[in-house]
Amino acid sequence: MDLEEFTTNLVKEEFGGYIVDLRFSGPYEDEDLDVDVILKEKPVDSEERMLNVFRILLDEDLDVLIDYIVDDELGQNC
Amino acid sequence: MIELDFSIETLANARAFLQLEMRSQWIYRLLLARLYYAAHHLPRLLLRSVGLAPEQWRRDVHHRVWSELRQHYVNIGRMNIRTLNILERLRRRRIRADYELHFVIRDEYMDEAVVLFADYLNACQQILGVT
Repeated sequence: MDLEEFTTNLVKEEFGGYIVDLRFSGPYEDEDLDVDVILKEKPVDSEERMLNVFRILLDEDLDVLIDYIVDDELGQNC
Repeated sequence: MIELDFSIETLANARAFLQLEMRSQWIYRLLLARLYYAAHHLPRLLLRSVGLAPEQWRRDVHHRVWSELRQHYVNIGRMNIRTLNILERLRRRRIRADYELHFVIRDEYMDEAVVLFADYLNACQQILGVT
């Protein structure tokens, strides 16, 4: 399983139906991967879900940088 | 503690820029970079206090800072994992600001970064016992 697939599965497990899109970019420097998770809205427990993803990436010693953006905040970036 | 002074000064200046409505893409990119590097210096200070020498690290320094922070602070309950996660999020925003010029940084995105940094700084000050 490659890193994008691994990250996708991890994020989907936590955020499921809240996900509009996942966008991968980078690496630009010495990180492994950059990821934007586009959400319909942030669930009330979004921070705990983010931390669950973060813990697993740390356990795997992966340097994946994830940002979570609500779809309607993207504005001109779509 | 020059790292702490730098972080406090960085936060004050970032807030001043925003309160003075100095809001442009160039200013946002500048501020996101300064906020991340100010955040990055604090764990280097913390790690030196447990006997590590981050100034001697040459490869994967940013990731290694997280790994060592987790081992020496998070795993023994001296730092909340949320604080470590803020460092990651600020790093992502710094990289975006510097490399993804097509990305339009919105006011909310910039304002949230300042709030995240303030939370992070507060947590580090508590660990350092200088609140």
